[in-house]
Amino acid sequence: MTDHPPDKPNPIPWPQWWRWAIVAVAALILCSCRGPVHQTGGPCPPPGPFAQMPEATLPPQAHGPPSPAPLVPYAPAPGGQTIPPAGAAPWIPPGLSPPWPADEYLHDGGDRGPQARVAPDWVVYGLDTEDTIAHYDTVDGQRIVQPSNRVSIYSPRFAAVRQVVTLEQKSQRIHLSGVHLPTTLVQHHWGETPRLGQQQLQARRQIGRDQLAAFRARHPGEILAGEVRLQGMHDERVKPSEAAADLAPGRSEAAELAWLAEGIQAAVAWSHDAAVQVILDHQAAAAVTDVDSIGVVYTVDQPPPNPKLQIVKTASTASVKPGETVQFTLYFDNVGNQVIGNVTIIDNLTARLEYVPDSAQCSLPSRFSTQQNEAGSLVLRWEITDPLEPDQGGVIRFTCRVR
Amino acid sequence: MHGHFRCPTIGDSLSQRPRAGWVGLAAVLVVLHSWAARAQQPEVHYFHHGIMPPGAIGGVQLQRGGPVAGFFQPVEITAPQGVSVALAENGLFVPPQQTPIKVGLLIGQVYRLRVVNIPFYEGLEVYPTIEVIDRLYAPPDQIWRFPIEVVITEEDLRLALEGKFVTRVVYLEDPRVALPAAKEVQGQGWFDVAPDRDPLAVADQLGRPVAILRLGARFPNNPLVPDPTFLFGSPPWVRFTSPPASEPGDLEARKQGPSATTSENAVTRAQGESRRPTGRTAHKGALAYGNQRVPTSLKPVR
Repeated sequence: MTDHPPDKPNPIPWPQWWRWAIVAVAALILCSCRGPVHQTGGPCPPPGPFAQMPEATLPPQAHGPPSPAPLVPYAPAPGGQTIPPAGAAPWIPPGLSPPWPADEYLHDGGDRGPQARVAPDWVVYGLDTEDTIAHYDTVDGQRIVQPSNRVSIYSPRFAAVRQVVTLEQKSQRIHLSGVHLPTTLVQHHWGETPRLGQQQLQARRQIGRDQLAAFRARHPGEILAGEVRLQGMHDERVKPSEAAADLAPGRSEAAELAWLAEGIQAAVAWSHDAAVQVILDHQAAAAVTDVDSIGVVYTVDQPPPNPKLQIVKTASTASVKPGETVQFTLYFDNVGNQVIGNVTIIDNLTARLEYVPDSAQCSLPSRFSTQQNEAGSLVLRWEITDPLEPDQGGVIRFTCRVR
Repeated sequence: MHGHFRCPTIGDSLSQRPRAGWVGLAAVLVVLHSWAARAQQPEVHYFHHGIMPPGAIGGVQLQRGGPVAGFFQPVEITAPQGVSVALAENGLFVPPQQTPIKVGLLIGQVYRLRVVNIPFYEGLEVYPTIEVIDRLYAPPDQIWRFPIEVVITEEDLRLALEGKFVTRVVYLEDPRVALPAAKEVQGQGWFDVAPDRDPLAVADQLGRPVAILRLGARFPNNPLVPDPTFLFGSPPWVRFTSPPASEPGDLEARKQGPSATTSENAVTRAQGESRRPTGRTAHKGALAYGNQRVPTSLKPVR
């Protein structure tokens, strides 16, 4: 029995489209909650030299009966150098990209977190630790921020959390609050000699009893302290790690000059007549011929303005222990077709990188300054004095001590 | 009855039904959004606790899978000057060696140590335990260069001798939240937590726990008699040796490969000799195996 006649519509005030909308939205939101990616069905890659080793096949280095099979990550080559075996890459979980795990690496460079931007008053916002950026002004008045690549250095550091507990019995003084001393007259007998008597004391009641076992801990107030150890770096030689030939723009074009010269010589040998070469505004002009005229018009194609600064960061080592130093190199090059000015390069060092004073060097005239950051390290800033012409660039070096 | 039943007009149905639908849709969206936000930020529920018995945490870590089973994680044990440390082998402790010593320990196993020659406590010994609960993923050629650093301080030994129980949870610092302190000044950074707090949870909030050092006043009944229970079954471990360099400038020569002298030194040290290299030059690391020596990495010995 219902209160509504069958010819009336559904009394539920929600229309049909609304229900479908609820289902669609719920499915969309619930499907957006992603969990960790698990790859199933595939074999786990070999994790390393010692991993997945059952106890029955322990390495010979383990104590016990020696085994003739040496288990080492690297085998010595005949020349004495250690050569990593083929495929001896560190194990990485499927679906992730190196470097992994991130907490074992020191990162510097790039622009993590909020994107860095420069205000009209030259204040830089969004500059997090580890960030390395460069900003510059273009001819048409734009101010562009260009982050560098990120450098990862393997440098794990350990700390400890200590807890001291003690099972200690709580001491308590138990004493008597009074005695029950019945005092009675000592009967005196005239014929007896006086004697002394000692009344034993009897406890009136027991004051109390506490349970034992209470914990007590020590909390020494040691804190970490920092130290500044200086080390100068004025080596002008090009380090092998800097790989300038691969990074500096124009090198590859310069390397091709030999092939170009060979081609030019071949062209000269094949053509017996010299031709007119027209240069307009330092650019080779192209000839435009027309069948209706006898003249030749030379023109220069002006490419669209494309200001662009390339900044590349490298480190002198791929792994470093605390206390050691690492040298960073920054390559900045104008790879666009316009002159750019007010080129400023900023490196916000992470907490574990300590800038070695007076180690900063720049191949171009610049103003160098430092500023404390929130991580306890420094923000390094280079302001290039002169504008950068196209295909012009420079190199910056500085040294950091790993904390 | 008709007075209580109001027949909706067409205008009411057009005005109230969409309004109620939109309100309901908004409420459901808010609820679902809150659920989704909560699902993306799950509450941390720690499965392990620092007061768990030795071996329990590492055992559960092994059950999680991954390349941890059977991996000998390099561990460097450091103690105060003059203190010697020995590990158990076949149910008995090997001759103590001066620290730092570098060994490879299995993850999930508990290793009993014997600490002797404690300053100002001559004749007393402490038997701490080390449990490695996670591993590092160093580059293959530098596994031994970056061991887990387990530091036993003089105060820890004194506290243990006084009957207190010291738990040190060694964790790998998150580089983005690490303190800007130089390690070479004060050594490994550490701090105390209150007894009512879980040191494992605190370490997990600051980084990744990798090892647990426990020191107490427990003493074996008879050190000369094997006690598997006290030694946790004497799990196997790997000994790492670093033969000393003869000249400070022969680093390049050592890069060219092992020599007969260095091999002999490696074997000598592998047999438990407590001689400590005193040179400050970089040494070639080696794994001791019989009469062979296999170079692994370069490490400056302090």
